[in-house]
Amino acid sequence: MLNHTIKYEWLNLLRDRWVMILLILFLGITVFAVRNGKEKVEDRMATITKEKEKMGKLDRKMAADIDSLNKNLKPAPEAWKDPRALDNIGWNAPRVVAMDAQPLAVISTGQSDLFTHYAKPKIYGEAYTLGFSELSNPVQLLFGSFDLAFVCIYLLPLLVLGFSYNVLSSEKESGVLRLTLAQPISLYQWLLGKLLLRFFILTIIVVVSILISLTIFDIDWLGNRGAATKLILLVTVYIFFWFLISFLINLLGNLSGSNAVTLIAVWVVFVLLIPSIISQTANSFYPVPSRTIMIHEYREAKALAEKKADEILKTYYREHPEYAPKDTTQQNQYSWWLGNFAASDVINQSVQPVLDDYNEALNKQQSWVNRLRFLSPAILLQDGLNDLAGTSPAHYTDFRNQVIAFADTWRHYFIPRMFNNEKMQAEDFGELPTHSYSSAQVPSHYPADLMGLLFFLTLTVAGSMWVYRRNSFENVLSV
Amino acid sequence: MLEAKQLSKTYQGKEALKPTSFTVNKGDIFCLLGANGAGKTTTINLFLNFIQPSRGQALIGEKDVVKEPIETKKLLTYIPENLMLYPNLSGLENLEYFSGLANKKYPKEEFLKFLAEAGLQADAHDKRISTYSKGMRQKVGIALALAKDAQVLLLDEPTSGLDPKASNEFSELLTKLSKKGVATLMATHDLFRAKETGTHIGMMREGNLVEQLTTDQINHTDLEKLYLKHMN
Repeated sequence: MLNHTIKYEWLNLLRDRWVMILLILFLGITVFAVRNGKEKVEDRMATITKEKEKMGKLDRKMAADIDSLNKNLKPAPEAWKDPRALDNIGWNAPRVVAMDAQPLAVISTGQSDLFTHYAKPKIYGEAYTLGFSELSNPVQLLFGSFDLAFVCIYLLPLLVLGFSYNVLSSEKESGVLRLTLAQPISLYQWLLGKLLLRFFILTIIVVVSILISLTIFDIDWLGNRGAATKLILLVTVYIFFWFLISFLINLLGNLSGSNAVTLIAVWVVFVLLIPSIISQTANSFYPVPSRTIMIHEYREAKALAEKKADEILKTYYREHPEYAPKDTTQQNQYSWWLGNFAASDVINQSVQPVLDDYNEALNKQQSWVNRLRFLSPAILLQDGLNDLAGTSPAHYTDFRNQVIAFADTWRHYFIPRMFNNEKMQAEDFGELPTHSYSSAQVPSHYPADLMGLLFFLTLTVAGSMWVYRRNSFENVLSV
Repeated sequence: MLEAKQLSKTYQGKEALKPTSFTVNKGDIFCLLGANGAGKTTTINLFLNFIQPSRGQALIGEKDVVKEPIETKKLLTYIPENLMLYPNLSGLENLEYFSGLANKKYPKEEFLKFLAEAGLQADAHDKRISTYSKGMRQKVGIALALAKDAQVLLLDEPTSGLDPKASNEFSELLTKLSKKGVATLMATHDLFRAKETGTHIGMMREGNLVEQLTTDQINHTDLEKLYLKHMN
């Protein structure tokens, strides 16, 4: 019976031209969305490439200068310009710590328009004071980006609802339903058959559109089959959820107009209301402390420490005897820096509580949002897509930690050498620490997001069965 | 074949159908006469299980329509006053679709034969229903009865709005089905057709079946007099 219903429903739909219109409409929207995503990712990668090229050029120039200076082909420059001085390299030739885009970054802008994707930590100054926020277009922040995630989260449900809100009610209104229900069928199965077909049609349209768009913009989804499959699975489950909601509302047996209003209300609640309530409550329950205050406290601690630089340096030597000058007759050319390095430990200790508070508040806010995301399928999808795109808050927090860790590596490459009063050599450029980005250690939200969506599916199926049991043809047929 | 046993329906305290009993045997055409709101459609809806009886039973082939809705619907074909079909499908496709819902599958030629037997002209078979007249749609309904091999026909004013020729054709089809042993329950306003086609007549007023008789007991004039007597 299911096959039979589906076969004739298909004939009916084909002759309605609905399917063709839907295909073209959705393909157009998807291509546009992926194009927008691609543009952003290209900008992001172009900036990173440019920075890396600049860094390489500077490295080559400095190496060449060192070579000429060593061969006395050039007069020695002032100390602060001398490429042989380690502080000069550590300060003026920092490495680019970049957050490369994931293969599927185009699908979801996520947090990417809030943060920069590279940092250049220097030998001095704490990495967490580096600006990670990027000034971005406030209008865009207000309305969000028109990316594939937006299309799937906001527009796709509307398409599903438009395609299914009156499956039962239109037949009731036209009168065909009386003849249908006079046949030996189960209303539940018959309606499910009709909706399943529509679900399959729409899913195929969506999947094909997404894959075509990714192909057009040269995104290697075949090479990233795992991520692409996850993307399609997540979106399919989301589509199915909305079809089931429509199924449930149809089963109530109301008229088309009333179905449309009810379904739009459900859409508003899940897609607009719950997400905004969660974000509002996150801000009021766990306000993020001001970054300005944090930086201010950091600077105060720094100023205090700098005043006591000599004293601090002495203590530092006691704690790090390996750094104590071996030849006290010779003046260390980096003596100004050494005091600062020593002071930085003291500064770190005194600002640590401020930093911890700041991080804890951020974590609390994030975990509040993480927990409450299970209240709305729309948030679950957003979260899952950000996860696949590598643009989730977790990815940016992780990148920030990677920058801080690399800043430490960078400094510790120079500190022992500077205490030893060494000089930079041309061949040292190859040995400078480098950073390569990886997101492997970011805990994936995807499995939980998928499970959450499946939970919503189960809930809706249970709801529709309950409605069906309670409802008789009397309700469905009465106008 | 078709039996109402003290069947009644109450809507919010108002009795749309008071306890009513009657039987329609194989080959009978039982015509329900009565003013609008007399309970004719309620009776038919009860047999279709579209509404639940407040008391009593509606039986088709000795099966209770409430307890065995699927089984009883296999036996019946229903033609409402205005039979609506899928406008984007042809007459043939609609017939195939609705027969399929009743799990009746035939080769295409068989379906075409049913349509022809129901009197639908051959050139209309493959045209979309949106181009059909009401009479043509009713014929698809009859073809469905043939395809389903229905033993019971439930008709709710099937000839209202049909021109006399179409109405006559429809009546002939009913007679043909009746000879095959189909039990028909028909609500109608057409006294003439009821006398001509029907084998039994029931008159309803305000939810009561006030009169039951066989058509051979009465002539046209007396039928009309009796009807008016009950209605006034």
